[in-house]
Amino acid sequence: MSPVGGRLYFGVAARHLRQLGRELVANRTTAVAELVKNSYDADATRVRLVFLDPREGGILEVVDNGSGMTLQEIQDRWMRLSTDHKERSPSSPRYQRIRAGSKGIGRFATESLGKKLVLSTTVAGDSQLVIATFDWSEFDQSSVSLEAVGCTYRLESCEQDRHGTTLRIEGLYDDWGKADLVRVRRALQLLQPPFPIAEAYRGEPTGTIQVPDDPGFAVRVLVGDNESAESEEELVNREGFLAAATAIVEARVDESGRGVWRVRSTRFGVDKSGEYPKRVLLVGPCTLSASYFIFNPGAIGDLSVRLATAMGKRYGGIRIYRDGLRVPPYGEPSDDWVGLTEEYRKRSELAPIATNNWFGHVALTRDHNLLLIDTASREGVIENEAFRELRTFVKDVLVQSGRIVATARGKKPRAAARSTHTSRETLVREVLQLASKVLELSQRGNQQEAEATLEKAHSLAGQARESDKSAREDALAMRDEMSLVRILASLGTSIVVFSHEVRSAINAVIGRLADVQEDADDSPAPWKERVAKGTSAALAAVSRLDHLTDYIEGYASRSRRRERIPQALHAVLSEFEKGFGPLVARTSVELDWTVSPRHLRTQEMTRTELEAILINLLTNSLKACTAHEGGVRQIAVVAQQADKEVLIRFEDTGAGVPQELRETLFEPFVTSTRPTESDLGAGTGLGLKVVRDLAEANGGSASLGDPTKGFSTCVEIRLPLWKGDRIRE
Amino acid sequence: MSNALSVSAILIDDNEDDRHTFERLAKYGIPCKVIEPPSLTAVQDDVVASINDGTYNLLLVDFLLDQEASEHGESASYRGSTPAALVKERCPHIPVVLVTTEDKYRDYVERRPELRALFDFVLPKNQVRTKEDRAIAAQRLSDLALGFQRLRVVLEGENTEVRWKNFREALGATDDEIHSLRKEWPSELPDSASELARWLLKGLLKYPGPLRCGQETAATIGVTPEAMSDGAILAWAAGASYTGVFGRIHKRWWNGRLLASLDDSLGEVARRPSGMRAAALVQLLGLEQPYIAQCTWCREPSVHRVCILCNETVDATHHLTVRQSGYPIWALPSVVCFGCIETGEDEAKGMHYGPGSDGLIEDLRSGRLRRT
Repeated sequence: MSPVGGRLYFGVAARHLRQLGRELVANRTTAVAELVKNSYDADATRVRLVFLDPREGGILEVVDNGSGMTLQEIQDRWMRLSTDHKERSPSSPRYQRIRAGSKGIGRFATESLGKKLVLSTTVAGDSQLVIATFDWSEFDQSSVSLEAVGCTYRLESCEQDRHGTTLRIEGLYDDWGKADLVRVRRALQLLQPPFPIAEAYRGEPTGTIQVPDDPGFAVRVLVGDNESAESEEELVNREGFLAAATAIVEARVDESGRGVWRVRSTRFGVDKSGEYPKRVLLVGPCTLSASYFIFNPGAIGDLSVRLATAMGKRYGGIRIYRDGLRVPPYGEPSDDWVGLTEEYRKRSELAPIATNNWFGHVALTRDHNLLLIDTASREGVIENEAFRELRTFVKDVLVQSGRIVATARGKKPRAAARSTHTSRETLVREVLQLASKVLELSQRGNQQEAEATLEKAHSLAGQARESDKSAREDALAMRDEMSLVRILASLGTSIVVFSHEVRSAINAVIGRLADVQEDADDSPAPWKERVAKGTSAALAAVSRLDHLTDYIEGYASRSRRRERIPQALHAVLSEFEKGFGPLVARTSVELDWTVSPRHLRTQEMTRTELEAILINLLTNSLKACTAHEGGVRQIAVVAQQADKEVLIRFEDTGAGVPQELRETLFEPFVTSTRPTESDLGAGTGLGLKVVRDLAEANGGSASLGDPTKGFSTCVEIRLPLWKGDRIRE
Repeated sequence: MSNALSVSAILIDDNEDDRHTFERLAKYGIPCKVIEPPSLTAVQDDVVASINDGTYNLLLVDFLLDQEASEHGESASYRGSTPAALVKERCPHIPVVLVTTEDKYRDYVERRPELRALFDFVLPKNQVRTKEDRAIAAQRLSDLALGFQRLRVVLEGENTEVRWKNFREALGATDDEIHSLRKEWPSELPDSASELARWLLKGLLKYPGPLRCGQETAATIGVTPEAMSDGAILAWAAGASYTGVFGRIHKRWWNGRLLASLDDSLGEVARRPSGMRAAALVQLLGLEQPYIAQCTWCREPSVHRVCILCNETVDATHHLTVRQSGYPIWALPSVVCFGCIETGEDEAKGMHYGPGSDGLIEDLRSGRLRRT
């Protein structure tokens, strides 16, 4: 039999196009941003985003004055996937802009926004307008090849000097509400830095990138004929905002990986520069520029502190620009990619260096920073070693700058830096100087002035002694605290090991109880019943331990619980009750909880922190309830919204807090329980301190409240309310 | 193949308690030889050989095998994936079951597709602790082993059409049902029982498509999930019940047959909103319980799907579709109800949603969109 063979070919189903649209574009704000990037790549200087009808089923037009496309270009480039056009022509023809898009995602973005696209485009010097209509539903076929589904087009005449492209997206899939438009406007207007495009390249190490005569790129968002909101650029220029900065920080990495930095503050007479102690080998050449704001009247220019703070909340952050265009989401409100806010919250840095205090950007280029690779969804850069190195460099430079400014302001920059020591040394130096002066005055016979100086020296010496004493006390307190932290850290590790062992033991006990039940199946009825009763009771007891071990294991080990995200009270309390419900029930205490409104969330904090607050309060309440003889044993947890805060009221029917302890109850080592009063053990006196520390570390507070009728104790926790201004991806 | 349609298992486990537990499965019809992890040579020479010669037709293996020294005085230097891979390579018609704790599965196996692919079924150790658990586990293991044997017979057919015919019989499917499956699947059945079992266990029976779980079936009918425990409703839906291989591991109903049953029983009402369908069915069956499902968000008696987090029914508009990788194209995507997004139940589970959902999610989480 002669061999039979041939060639086989890949085919692409039409619906592949739709899948690309849906899977490559992370969300509709990104989709719109991709369309605007396409306009930028086409040398447009103006883009209008017009929501002719922002409702579901409505119409969105993206109108630019870019170079436009001919019919041939639509066919050969726009409608052809995976061409090497952008590799062959990495810059735009007119203004030599480095192309923002590289994967051709923009065209698929239109598919993810609406049912139909009408593309109208013309190039300068051509009096022909090409109008192509794409009905995406026609591509929704798995059995038809992509090449078999086309689009219709028609040609119309137009003015010869007209150029640009209009994308008309009809049948929008979603409503675009006010909040969405604000998001879009922010995303678009923040696509570029609040300074001219060329500025992003000032100080570029090689100086090879030029943006000759680029008039810039303005984006407007309109709903009908109305501007959706004022632009950030207007705000910045109008208020002269950046000129009022406390300090300016600049840093750069050159091609050899050498990093240098400079921090300047005319207000505090600072102009320091230095070399970064480590080589930055993976990132490639880049620059960092940042304006530092301390929101205090004496630290910024004539700007109102209130306005400055609001600007910081809204626009503060360190953004990343690549080839002059913004890489989202870095520098979005609440995006702490550098880790500045986290550092500040840890209170190791006392200088205000949170993300909101900075208005800055890192300038990268596609050519020089090859290891910083965009994610497929175009939302951010892949978190690899190079990105982590960039983050460390930026963080180190900004933290160091914050410390320099703090020192210049006479503030303690770090928790570990004991300013009292410096103060004491200064005092001792002054005392010695005064002593010399006393001697000199005495020798000159100026007894009166000598005595006055001596008295001043005595006074300063007294202050030095006080300062010394205070420093010693601080050091002792710090030593105790560090010791406690080490003990708690070891305890955490032990709990993980312990709960694992407990889990094995529980499994073994339950298994063996089941063996007994099985073996009793063949026994006489009375014996079988007795065994069933006994084993059921034993199983119930072990099951309680099983639930609690589940919760403790999760509490101690899940890294997701240590992410700083808005915490939904309903979900947290629901799981908390599942974990501790059996323990509470065993002590004959009734636990009720309510969350109102149901969506109630705190600002970003870790779940572990919130759970630690709840665990401490619960164990306190359980001790109080079980120690109190007679009456109803009840614990009520009510989480509610109170103005701009989340208020958690934790009430119990225990013995109440003695009057003499009310003032000091949140201080360390103060407890109202005694060892014999509860089988949960005596209080260490640290629970409520931990509660208060955690609440305060997250911008909230803890205090005693007035219990409602029937309850004897109420602890109130207040935490900042999440206002719904950000979605965690 | 010896001992046709019978089950004989072997377990490799380093934990004495667990070996003891599995040995007792004989009481529930699964004779199980339990062994400490032997040397790697012994795994090849003895364990694989005895599976190959038909002594055992089900391999159960723990993942971490280094807890206790083996009879040779040394801890095992390999993990459960090693014997699993050997059996998969040399005896692909034998099911391999991973017996481990949930946390070890999560830490060592779940995120590694190449390891997941080695195991046909995962039996968490906490699901063989009680008497009741053991009975269920034994039934599942038996169904798994017998299912593999049936699939092996399916593939003995002399040509493609005969194999598909055998497969249809093994599934208990109608010609129409198998025809619609063939449209979505490759035209040729795979060569090994293991691969064919994977089609079923990790495809057809796992995702809601032609076959639906009890909760999704309840939503299709329009009744509450609890109704699927009512004898009268189960009897009414018996014709749609999936009776094919692995049917005791995954209780499923043929969706097409169920819709046809609704048409037959209720006539035109079958096409009306779910509340009316359910009411008519409850009346027809003379049930005392109303069982009419409501949307968990708006409380309207109009339901479409079941939320994967709270297992409550939800209508066609008050849910979001979950973005999941590796989801078959023929399957309905999972959904999460608005209520679980509002209260944050979805965040702890790390849910991701389809494009264009961000605004809606933010509205729900911030309370701008609330229940009416």
